Amino acid sequence: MRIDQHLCTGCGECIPYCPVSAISLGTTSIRSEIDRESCVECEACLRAGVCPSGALQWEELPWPRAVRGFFSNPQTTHRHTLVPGRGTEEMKTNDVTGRIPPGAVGLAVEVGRPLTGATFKDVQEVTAACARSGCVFEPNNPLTALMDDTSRGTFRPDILEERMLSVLVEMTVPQERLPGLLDSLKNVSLRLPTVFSLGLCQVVGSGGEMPMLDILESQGIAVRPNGKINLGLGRMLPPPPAREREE
Amino acid sequence: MTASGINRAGSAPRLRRFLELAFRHNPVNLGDIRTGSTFSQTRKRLLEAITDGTVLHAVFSSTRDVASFLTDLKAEDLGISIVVSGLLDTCRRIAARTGLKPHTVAVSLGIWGRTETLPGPSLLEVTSMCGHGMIPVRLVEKLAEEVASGALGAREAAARLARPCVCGIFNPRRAAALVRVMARRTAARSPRS
Repeated sequence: MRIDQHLCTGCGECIPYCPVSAISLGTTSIRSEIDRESCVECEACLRAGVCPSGALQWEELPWPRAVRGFFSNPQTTHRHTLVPGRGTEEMKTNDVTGRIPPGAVGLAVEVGRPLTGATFKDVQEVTAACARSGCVFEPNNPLTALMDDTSRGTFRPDILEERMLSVLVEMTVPQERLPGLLDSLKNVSLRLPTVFSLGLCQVVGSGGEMPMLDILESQGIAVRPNGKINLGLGRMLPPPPAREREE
Repeated sequence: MTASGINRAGSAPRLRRFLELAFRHNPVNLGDIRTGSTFSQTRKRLLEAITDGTVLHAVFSSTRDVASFLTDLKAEDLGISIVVSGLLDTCRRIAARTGLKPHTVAVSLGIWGRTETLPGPSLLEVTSMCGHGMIPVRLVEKLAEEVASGALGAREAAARLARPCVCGIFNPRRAAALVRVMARRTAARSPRS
């Protein structure tokens, strides 16, 4: 995003709409300015539609800066997965994908959420720690496609300094490896310069059991009262006839 | 939500039907992440713009409305995955009431790391209603001040907060209640009070 300094009237209407406070009134002019290092290219300011002069403008982003928008703009549809938003189905379609099979635990670590943002360097701290604990990164998560070595959880070097609003790391571990992985996450949380939101998911047993909850209790980790339930209503559906697809 | 290679191709009519059914049960917000929410688009536009594989949300302020919506969805058998989120105990009760068995459950373990850098809990309660992080703290503060000064009503403030949340998961009714409380605190701290 850019602000055309010739068009900007300095009204400041755009300033409160930036989720990362990257817009401010300039110190040497009365125009609004975008701090390019803080800006995560989410386009929230543009979507707000409050600029009276057309000064707030979208710009084509070169690589690697473009990666900011891929992960920060919820209206992006990821090229790799064709899923909008975070670009991944997460547990939301687990009733049909079996992405997290029974006996395993799915983890979702959203680095930079809420509100603090994260660089890929920050994300790599988390993914490297998780890789050492034997997790398997979700192949259908667009983040995984940017790793240069999934066994070590490292990313291609050209994106490490890029900042995003938040990045969702998804992985699966066998249940018995969960305590070790949680310890790794506790340790990395102590040295990370940002925050992450952590969620776990598991297929419910036939008797309603979820063994991961016992593991959490034994580790002294509190479970928040909020959560999500996939209701098992999805199923395989035939694709539409060829004529409909052509239309 | 639909799944690639399983039920995504040709899913637009089923997703549209999901929205049509949702409209019948008093949603306080709903949206299509590719198009916007009821705070930025008309219902007609939302229905017309649905494409295969988009992600839809509907938000309710009453468990009864959620239960009746789920009853309709179960009967309609759209074949697309449905996730209900909220207080887990409440979600489980609603599922049981509608004869639905949880397949996969996701729990939250909260926020880890540099939590001391986060804004206070009253601000986070509002901003975190948008899972994509589109509700800025500064906007919440600004609108709470306007409500405190009498320049704006809490419902209008909540509507303005709902607009940046493009997926439609933001609960404006809850936001209005939270902003009202924030405004009362701001007014109480004012030198004139």
